[in-house]
Amino acid sequence: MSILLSEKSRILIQGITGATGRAYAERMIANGTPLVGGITPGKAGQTVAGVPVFDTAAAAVAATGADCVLSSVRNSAALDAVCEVVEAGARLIVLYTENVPVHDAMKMVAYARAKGCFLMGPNSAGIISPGKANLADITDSRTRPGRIGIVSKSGTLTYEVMDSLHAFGFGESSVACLGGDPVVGTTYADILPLYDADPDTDAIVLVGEPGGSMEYRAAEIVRTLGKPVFAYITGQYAPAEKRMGHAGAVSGAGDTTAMAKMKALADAGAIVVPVVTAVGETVARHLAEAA
Amino acid sequence: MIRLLEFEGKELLKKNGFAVPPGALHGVGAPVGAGPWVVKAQVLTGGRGKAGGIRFADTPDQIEAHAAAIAGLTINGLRVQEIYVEQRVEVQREFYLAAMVDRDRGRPVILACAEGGMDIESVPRDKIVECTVDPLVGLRDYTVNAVVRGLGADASLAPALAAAVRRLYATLVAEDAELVEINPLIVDGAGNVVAADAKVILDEDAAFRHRDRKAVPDGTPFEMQARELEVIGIELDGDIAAMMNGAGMTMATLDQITAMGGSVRGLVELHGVMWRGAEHIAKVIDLMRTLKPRVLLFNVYFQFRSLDTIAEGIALAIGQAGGDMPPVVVRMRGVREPEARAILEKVDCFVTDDFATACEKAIALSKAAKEN
Repeated sequence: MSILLSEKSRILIQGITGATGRAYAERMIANGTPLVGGITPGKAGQTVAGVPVFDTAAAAVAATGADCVLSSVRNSAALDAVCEVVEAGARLIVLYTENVPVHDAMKMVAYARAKGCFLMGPNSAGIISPGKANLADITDSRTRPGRIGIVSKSGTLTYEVMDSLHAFGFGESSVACLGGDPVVGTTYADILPLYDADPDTDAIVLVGEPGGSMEYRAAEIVRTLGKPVFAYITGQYAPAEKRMGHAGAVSGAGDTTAMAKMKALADAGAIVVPVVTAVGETVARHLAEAA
Repeated sequence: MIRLLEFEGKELLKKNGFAVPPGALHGVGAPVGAGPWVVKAQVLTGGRGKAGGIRFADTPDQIEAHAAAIAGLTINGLRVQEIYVEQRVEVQREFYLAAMVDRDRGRPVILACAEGGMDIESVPRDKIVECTVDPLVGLRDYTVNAVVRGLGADASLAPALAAAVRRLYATLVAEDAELVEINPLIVDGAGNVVAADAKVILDEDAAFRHRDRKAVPDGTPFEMQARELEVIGIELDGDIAAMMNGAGMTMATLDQITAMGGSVRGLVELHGVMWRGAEHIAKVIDLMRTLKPRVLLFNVYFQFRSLDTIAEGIALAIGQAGGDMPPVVVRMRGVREPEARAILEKVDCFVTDDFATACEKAIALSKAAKEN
């Protein structure tokens, strides 16, 4: 199994005729991801990578039965785009777009939650269930099907975590990237119980950042889980008040620093890994001891 | 985020229907109206009063004397940018009122306190009324009333304060603000509600809705020049200047170097600038060299972009610098790795595909350079 996304998912790309959307579509089809169509207003009747393009999300869902959407639209169109696909009944949305205004983010997050939809992002690198479906800014060949669930804010850092796990023979059940913005839809607290309930996940790797309190809510959930959680929080030496490339990762008040979050997660029973390159080794050592 | 100075914040409040004391920047015409006045340092930090940045004047001569004194002040490490002179308001009551984006709840929140004028973080939590607003529903009267009750004012003031609360929330949304804080919100001698201070932070990601807004340059010269090159630059005070792709990788590299006993002079996050090509990368590297780092480190992992572009950029920068280049350490993984390696074999640098090895090497070289 996997979480949220599988070979049975039926996927649409919103903004499929743009450069990013088209590149995603071609890659998905080439790697066996179940892409069933795309949405671009005014482009109905065209095809991209062999799948049909629709004018509206409603038409696309009606024709294809799609339940998952990768959204790659300009930031000024993101709120409309997400509301449209939520209303059309999508269960999972990855909003890849960055620089989305925070007021728009709050509205789309509230709407997705009200409708029971998992919105990843804004500014999410997506989600992948290796060997099944890829809705992420991650190359299929750099993943390996396996039994570790990853949940991360960052995209590029996830590459490092996977490499580190692969070096010790592990692979991933799913990789979920929440997004680097201050307000995002799906949080650690939403993802952790899904991995805990997934029979094909043995352990969870959580990658966090300074800023905000999302990791604290994650720590509360960690206490309730049966599976081991390995946590790496980046930005341990990030200077306070500097924007470190992710809008959300501004380390302000003392208790939103990486160090404070590491302590909270450790107190909750997570195994805290100090540097990203040590993730695989730490998981291997701990799982061997537990066996 | 765009932080506004007090006078800019007050202009924004005025535009959104708030009463503010009449005022003008010092040196722009005569003082507004008749005295007494307040002479206020314009600087993006709190604690201005304690630092001598807010002074009262009864005569134009006093304004000049105060302005001269304030102009030379450094408050919390920041130089005073402007001096603002406004008419002093007769205070009947002072409140605290703010609306902000609560990132943890993912909602706007309104904060109110019956005591204004003090640092809100020093006020006991139970004296602050905090009301969230569902962004899909907007501000309803039950929330407005709860906030007004929190201000603890006489019933006669309630309608005016309710109007101020509605105006505040409307300003937060209309201006795409992350914070609109009025501390103090004053009721003057005539019973008018006046915004006596303004702290405003705007969301730069909403610039497409506010075309008239100009981005305020912020940061060190290195950081500002990085922005011009469409990358994110962060200046620190250590030894190694490093270039990464992705915010997570940037922070992780800083962590790794620091945890291993090294120090970082500057960070560059490429932020999707790769499509501009090798010459642009070389320009960014030239900018990194202006920090005079002891070592240049490149830590990139590309799953989609080709590594040979960055390798060409590095080779170009090394070639152009001649002998004026610090030692270069490159960690590359991903697309077209062999091709990128072949490019870098022709120039003087250390290449690896391992994150930790690269950091180790960079630290060793920076320590060796320091000893020389």
